Amino acid sequence: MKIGEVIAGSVKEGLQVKLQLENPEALRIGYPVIVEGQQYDFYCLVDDIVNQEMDIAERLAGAEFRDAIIPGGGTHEGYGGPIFYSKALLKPIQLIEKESGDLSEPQTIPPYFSEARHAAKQDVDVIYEITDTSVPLGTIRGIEPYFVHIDFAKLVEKPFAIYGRTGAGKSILNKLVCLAILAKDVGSVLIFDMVGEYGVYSRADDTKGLKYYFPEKVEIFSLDPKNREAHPFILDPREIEPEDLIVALQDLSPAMVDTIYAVNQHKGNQDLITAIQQATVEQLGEALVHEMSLNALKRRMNRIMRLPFLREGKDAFQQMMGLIRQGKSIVLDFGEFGGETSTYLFVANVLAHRLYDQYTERAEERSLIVFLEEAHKFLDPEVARYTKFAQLARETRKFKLILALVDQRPTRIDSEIRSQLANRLILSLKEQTDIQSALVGVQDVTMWEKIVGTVPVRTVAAIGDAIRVPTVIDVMKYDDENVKEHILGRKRMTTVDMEGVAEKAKKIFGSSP
Amino acid sequence: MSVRDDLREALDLMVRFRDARTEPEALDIHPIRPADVPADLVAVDGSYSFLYNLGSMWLAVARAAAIPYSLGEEGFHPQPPVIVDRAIVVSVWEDIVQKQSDLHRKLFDATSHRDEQQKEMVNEFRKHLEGELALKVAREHKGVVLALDGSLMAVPKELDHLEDVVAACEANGNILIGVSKDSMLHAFGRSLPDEQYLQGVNGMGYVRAPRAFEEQKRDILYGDVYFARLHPQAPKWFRVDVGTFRDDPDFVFSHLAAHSKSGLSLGYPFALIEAHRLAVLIRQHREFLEDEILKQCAHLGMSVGEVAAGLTQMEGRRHGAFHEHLDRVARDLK
Repeated sequence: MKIGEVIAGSVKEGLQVKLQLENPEALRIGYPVIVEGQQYDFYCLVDDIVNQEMDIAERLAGAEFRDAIIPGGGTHEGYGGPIFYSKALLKPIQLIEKESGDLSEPQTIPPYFSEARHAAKQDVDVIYEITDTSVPLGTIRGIEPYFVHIDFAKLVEKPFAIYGRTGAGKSILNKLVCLAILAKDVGSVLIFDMVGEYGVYSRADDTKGLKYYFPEKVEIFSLDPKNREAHPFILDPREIEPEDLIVALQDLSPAMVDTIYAVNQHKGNQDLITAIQQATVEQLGEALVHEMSLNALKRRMNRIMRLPFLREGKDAFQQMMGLIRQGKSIVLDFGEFGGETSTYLFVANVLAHRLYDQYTERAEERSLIVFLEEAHKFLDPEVARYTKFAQLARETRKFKLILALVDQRPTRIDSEIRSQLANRLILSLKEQTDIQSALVGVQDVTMWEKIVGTVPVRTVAAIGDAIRVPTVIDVMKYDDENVKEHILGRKRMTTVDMEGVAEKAKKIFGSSP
Repeated sequence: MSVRDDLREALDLMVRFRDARTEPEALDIHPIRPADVPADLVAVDGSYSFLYNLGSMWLAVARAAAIPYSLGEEGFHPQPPVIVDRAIVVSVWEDIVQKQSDLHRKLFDATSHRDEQQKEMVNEFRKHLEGELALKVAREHKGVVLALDGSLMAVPKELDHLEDVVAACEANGNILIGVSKDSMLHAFGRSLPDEQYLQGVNGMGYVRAPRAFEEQKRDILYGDVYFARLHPQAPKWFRVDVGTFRDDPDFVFSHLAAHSKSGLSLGYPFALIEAHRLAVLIRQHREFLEDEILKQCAHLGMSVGEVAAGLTQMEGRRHGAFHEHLDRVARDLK
């Protein structure tokens, strides 16, 4: 459907279109629009919608008319269309050569009066590639239902991020992304399940989890000894390093941090936790530690000491690695510890440095994608130097260990780590600094800032090399129907299938009279 | 006596003239009820622009535009307009005019003895084009309101089409009206112009001008003269000449009032605004037309300087005319 004509434009600033819509509300920021040039179709996104300042509007506003035709949408058409019209600013994203269908970057503009129209299915068919490893996460905004595919093989080649404010739909999107990775078997995932979302059923909303859809591919480990259905997660205290404690106990003073390192140097064969509990100033020397710092550290260590999974026994990490090598994915259920941030930070960091060692020292063949929720707690510039996650983001891509950041505060993630991200799935963000941080390095950043700042919840801006053009996607509803139809790739019933079902029904119920 | 005294005396005189009263005829104002189902209205207007001057010859373009409007509950909707653009060379030198067409000679004769005759000639040509277009509309449409910009007076008569337009409208059942945006008539015999005099009358209605006034103009007037306020909140009364359905002014004004309900132009037909906007577009095309002139003159062997010196403003003055230079000097001296 035609929505207007080009009245101005430049390659740098985009195109201005005089809208012929009676109501500009029919258009939204981020909607795809096609401008029909002579040689190319310009695939554009709506950058802004404007009601320009008009003297006549200013004069008329507030006037009280009796028995008159009030100027408004569609009441006053002139020789050139509506007298009161809105404008849309469009940002060309791709050029589609009309004859060949070849795509190229937008390096030119269409002539004056070129027609702008809503993008149709046949337009986006040319833009979006469907590959053996692509899966849709939802439909393109502003178009008849069209499921846009993301190539998950490309997505998991390099670190990526899912950003969004609280309530924007990160968990749903995260689940869909994990399911798509499993469905296309482009790697295994390791997910720290703080609130029991990803197992068989979500404890929060009873929706189905990864294990439900992939019972053979997903193994659940639990920190909670009461969970008998999961593999027990046991962490050998001997694996604990100073940085694990520093990250887990984020309220340590510099003196306490020094004390940990001092104890670590003198611990001998003891594990670090026991060594701290038994340490004395006399043993370490007054030059290295202070009585008050040591006591304060010991008090804080109680948070770690009481964790029941911290004991000698069958090492869960090696068990996990064995399963991953078999092509399985791991959901680490935190059970009753799900509400304890320090436990999450502690466990995740311990696993991170073991994964780092494992993948860098031994050539693992299977990709592992580690989903890191609350990523800023590990990657804040203040903390990042103590965690292995910063190195995971920077260094392990070539070792097939990929970090997926999930966070609501991108500003608080170290900028160097953000710069490593090859793909970003950005849900609604409200803080301007977060929006800017999430979009660092993106082309047409001003447009994307507007989009990310205004999109409703469960709408995601997908930007990166896993999708051909940056796209605003309405994330599909997370339900059985959608997951089976679009993620798992259930076949639609054919006529033959239907006949088979009818035949079976006839046998069971008999023919109707 | 100082100039200040002169001013005081002059203002005193002006106010006395304004307030001078002769007993006017009692105003017979008729109410208007806008038509529930208004007929379509076709508005016609025109414009012109001078482009180039060479000696005593001027090159100008004129445009006549007609735009039909239908009016529904949801608003004003146009149908495709008809646009007639024509270029013309006018000369104020009789030897040249004699070598031109019959139309040129008529334009020359009709405007002789007027100031800035070239402007008058082009203006008459513009009216001539409007008349031709109005006649075409009157012949091609049935049962519409044909609204012209200005009065229904044929001056000069030999260039006009009004007689034929009236006949065509009568044959096709069209309402013919002419709306004057600004009228300085004193038909009601008041010191104030009629429009200003009627300003004190509230509400919506129409009133016919005194017959004596019409009789004076009967040889050039193709209709009856009214003043009308076409919406209760209209800012002013307009002179409206009615060319057909003269025996049923209620009917005429009911349809005209319906088309004058736009909040953008209360009391004035919205279609006439659009016809005007369409007509004056010719003035915005000057740059393109000047380019054509430059190219063609170069082709004819004229130098760029010579051609550029002849380019004019819209009303025919050369860009470099000496009085413009004087104006600039005067401004700079302020």
